[in-house]
Amino acid sequence: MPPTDAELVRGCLTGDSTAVRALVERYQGDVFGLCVRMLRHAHDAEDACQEVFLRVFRSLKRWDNARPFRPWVLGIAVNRCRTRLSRLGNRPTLVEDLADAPAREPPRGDESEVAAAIRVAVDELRDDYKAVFVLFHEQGRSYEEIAEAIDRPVGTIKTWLHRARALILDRLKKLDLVSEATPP
Amino acid sequence: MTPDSPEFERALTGPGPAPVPIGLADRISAAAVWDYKVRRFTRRAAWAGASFAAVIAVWFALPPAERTPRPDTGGPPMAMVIDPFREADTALASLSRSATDRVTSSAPVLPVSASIFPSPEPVTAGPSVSGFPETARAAFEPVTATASRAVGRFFQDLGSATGATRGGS
Repeated sequence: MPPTDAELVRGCLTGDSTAVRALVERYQGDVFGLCVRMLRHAHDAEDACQEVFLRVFRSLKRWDNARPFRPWVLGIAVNRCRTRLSRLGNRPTLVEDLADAPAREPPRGDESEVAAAIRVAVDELRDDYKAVFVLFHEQGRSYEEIAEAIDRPVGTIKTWLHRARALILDRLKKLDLVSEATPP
Repeated sequence: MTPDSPEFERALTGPGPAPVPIGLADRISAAAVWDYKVRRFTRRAAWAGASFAAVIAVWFALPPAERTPRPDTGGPPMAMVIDPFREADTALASLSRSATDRVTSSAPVLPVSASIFPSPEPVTAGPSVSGFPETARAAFEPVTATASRAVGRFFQDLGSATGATRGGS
C-alpha cells in the first residue's frame, strides 16, 4: 500500500530523501502539465516545476493535513506560473514565437487542425481562464478541486470555464473550423 | 454549436497532460534535498549567531566589577581522609603566635618574687685587737698569730711540694 500524502509530508519534514522523491514523482505530472500549458515552453516549465516543488517543500509546515494535498500543490503551481508570466510581461520573446509553432504545422486532417486551433486559442486566454481550462479539460480535476487550488468559489470557477469555452469557440468560428449549423 | 455542447466538449478534451521529461524527478529531488540542507544550516547558523550576540550583549550590559569570574565554589564534594593528628597540627598552625606561646612554653616551677629572698643585712665590724689593753692582747695572741702562721705554713708546704715534684720527675 503506497504511503499517504500525510505520511510523505512527515517524511519530507524530517529530511527523508526517499519521501521527497516519492512526493515529486506523485505530483510532477500534474505540475509539469500545468506549467507547460501556462508558460507554453518546455524549458520554462521545467524551471517553474522545480520552483514549485521547492516552494512546496519550504511551505510543508503550513499545509493543513485536514485538506487535500493536490489542490494545495496546484495552487502553488498556478501562482508560480502567474508570477513568471507577469515577470515576462508583454515583451517579445522566443516563447511567444514558439507558441505559434503548432498553428503553422501542416494539418493532419480536420481533427488535428481543430486541436491545433484550440491549443492556440487556449494560449491566448487570460491566465485565470487558462488555468481553469487546463485543470478541468486536460487534467480532469473537479470544480471543487479547482476552486481549492485557485482559491475562488465554485461558481466563479464555472463562470470562468464557460467564458473560456466561449472565447475558444469564437476563435474557431473566426477560423471557420466550426459552423453555427453544426448540430449539438 | 455552443460552449457547453457535448460535441464541443469532446473537441476540447485534449490528449492529456504533457509527458514529463526524463530525469525531472531526479533533478527536483536533488534540488529539494540540497535546499533543505542549506536552509537547515542557515537556520542553525542564525541561531548560533543570535545566541552569541545575546551573550555579548549581556556581557557588556553588566557593570565592569561583575565581569571578573568568581572562584568556583560549587562542584561535587571531594573525598577526605580524617586524620586527627594532622587536623590538630593544622589547627595549631592556624592560631596566632601569641595564642600558641601560652600552650607550648614551659610553665615556671616556682613563682619568682623578690619578696621571698630579702636582701642580706650588713654585719657590723668588731672592735680591733690593737685597741685592746696589753694584757688582753696577750690573751688573744694564739688567735691573732693564727693567720700569719697559716700563711707561712702554706708557702712552706708549697715549696716542699714543688721540690718533691721536680725530684720525682
